[in-house]
Amino acid sequence: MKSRVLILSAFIVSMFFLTGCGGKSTPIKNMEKASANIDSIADASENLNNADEAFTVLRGLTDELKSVRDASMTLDEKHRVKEPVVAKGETMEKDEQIEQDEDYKKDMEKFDKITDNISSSLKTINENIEPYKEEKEVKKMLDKVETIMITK
Amino acid sequence: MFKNHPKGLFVAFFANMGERFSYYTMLAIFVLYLQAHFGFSVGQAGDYYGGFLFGIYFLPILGGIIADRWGYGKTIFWGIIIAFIGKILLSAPGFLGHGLINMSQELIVIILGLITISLGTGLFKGNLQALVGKLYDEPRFAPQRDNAFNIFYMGINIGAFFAPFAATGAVNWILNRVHGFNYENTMPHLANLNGKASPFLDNALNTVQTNFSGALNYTEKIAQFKESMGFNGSISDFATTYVSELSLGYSTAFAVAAVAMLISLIVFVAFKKHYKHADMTVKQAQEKAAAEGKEDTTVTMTKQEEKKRLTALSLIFITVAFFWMAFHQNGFTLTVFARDYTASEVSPFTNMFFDLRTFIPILAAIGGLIFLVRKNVAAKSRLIGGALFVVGFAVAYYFYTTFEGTEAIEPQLFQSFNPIFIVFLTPLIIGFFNFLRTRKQEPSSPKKIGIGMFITGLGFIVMMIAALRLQSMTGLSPYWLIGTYFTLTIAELFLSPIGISFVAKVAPPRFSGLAQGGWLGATAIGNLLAGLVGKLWDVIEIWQFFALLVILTVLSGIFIFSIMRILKDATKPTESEKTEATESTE
Repeated sequence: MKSRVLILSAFIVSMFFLTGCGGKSTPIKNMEKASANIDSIADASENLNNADEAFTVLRGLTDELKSVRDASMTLDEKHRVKEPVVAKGETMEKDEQIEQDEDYKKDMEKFDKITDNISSSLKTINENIEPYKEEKEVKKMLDKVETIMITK
Repeated sequence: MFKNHPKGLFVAFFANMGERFSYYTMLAIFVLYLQAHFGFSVGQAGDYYGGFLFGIYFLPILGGIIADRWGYGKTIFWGIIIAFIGKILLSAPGFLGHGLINMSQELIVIILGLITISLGTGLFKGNLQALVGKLYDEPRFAPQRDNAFNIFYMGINIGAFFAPFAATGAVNWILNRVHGFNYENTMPHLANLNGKASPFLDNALNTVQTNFSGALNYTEKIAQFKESMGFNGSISDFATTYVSELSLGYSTAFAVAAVAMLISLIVFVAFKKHYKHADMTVKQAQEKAAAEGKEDTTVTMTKQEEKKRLTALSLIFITVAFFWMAFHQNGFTLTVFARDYTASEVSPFTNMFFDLRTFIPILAAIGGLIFLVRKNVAAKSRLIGGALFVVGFAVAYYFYTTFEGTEAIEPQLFQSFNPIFIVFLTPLIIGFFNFLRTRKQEPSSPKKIGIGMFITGLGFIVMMIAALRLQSMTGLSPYWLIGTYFTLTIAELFLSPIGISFVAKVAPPRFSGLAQGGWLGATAIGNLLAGLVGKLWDVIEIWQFFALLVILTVLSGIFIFSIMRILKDATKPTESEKTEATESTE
């Protein structure tokens, strides 16, 4: 009996370890990872044979752009000046400022480099999917790519 | 199905249905409200949501301890009152707004509301289950205990099923009432971005716009919505008005949830006479017997018997946490699978299962057909069955003809299959168990729980096969997911109501409330594990993810069968229970 309970407990504890062993991620690290993945997607888009493959490329790109969006928003939040919110509705009308300190400049420098890299990959992908843009499913996925940065 | 049950079951059924309707109405929009009204990120809103759920599932342990000393009915009564106050607090900022209190104060009111609701639910939920269990301590009702909890469970799901529709209805009504707005899920996010400096997001957006000329920035997108909703005013005015109206819509839905609590309270108080006889702690029963000069018939257990039963319950709790871990992938990875890998457009025929106007009539028609062809059914019931069959199919066909060539389906719609399946499968499962009972082949409650675990594994085998077929761009057929939801619902009916029934049967009488609280605590651990396992979604292959769930649930099933002797020992009646049963037979 005791051994059964022990096995079960070990099982639960190992699951906690298993799921928690991903390491600590930062927005810049997430951006770098997304950028590398977009690079691979751009490489994969070089040999598209049909609309199916174009769709798969865009679906993968949407997932990576989601990571880019989330990392960007986290960085904005990190550097935003925290002012007390005074009245209802004011959050949307007030121009919340960004604290442009050294840390901000460092982050923005790294961010710029990553987005330059992403931009060249996006250019490649856009050119490679050109023949399939009018296909219904591809068109729908393209819409997703184009709106992913402003949807949540 | 409803025969040979004490009337108290139906009081608990409706009281619970009202409370669950209220709870799920609130829950359906809670995170959306925090994001729209306070501009919270998903992560921030998730922290509040997680903390709230933790309270909802762990406070029943405290509620159980209180009720085991204070009395079940009294604790449940105050639970409803406190949860009602909590929901009023949640809705208050929307109605008090417009400068009366500031945002920080509003947030304090919301937090107070959440704490109050958790506390009220903690006093209510587990103890109502304990009270239902006590109704079946009477030997003449005892054989119906599993069926009773199946019926009780159906009430939960009827409440849960209609709740999102009530929440959506309240929100849409407020949005539409003055400005003729319609619901756009990205508007709160866009409005929130509109007033803020966001250099990093702007930079990323610019990168996409440079390469994909169709990409819009958030101001352009808000302008599009403003245009389509016919709003006269600036973009900024539109954004502010929209979010303000949307917040009021959410507050109205919270008020609807509060009203549902009142209905639950009225049912519970007005029909008290039907459960009053069972509403007693061991101590209260002993005091009553002494005061009336009667013999003390309460079931007493030795410390050893209590220990044996509590050990059996703890083992069940640990194992069942794995069921909830797998089952609650429905709101998480299964929804992601629906969004990313399942066809987003379906044929009119398939759409009949995603549209309530056709799906409910179809189910009603099937129910009617069963009554029509069953043996030993009264002529009146057969007539009603026939009418349901004809009308159901006629209504379904009428709406079917209004569908276009292909219809879009939203990924979250898959989640509504579970409560629908529960309501319609419960009578079948009860019928199946009754059939087995008449042949003396009905499995014991622990065996049903073990079988439920294996059925859960089967459900995820379906998903594993689906994941291995992920090749085509058109997305998989939605029937893969519907099939999985169907299988998981059967598993749930074998496991959850039966588990609650098992807890009610096995719990030592002086710990009835605490034991039900423990069951809900196990659900909380399952929810926590669901989130942790869900993190593997992006790490391993999708088929491997589902294979892992199959392995975990099957191992849990094997574990249950390996401890069957301990569980059966725990369900054996004690000496005093045997005496009571013999006396009542005499």
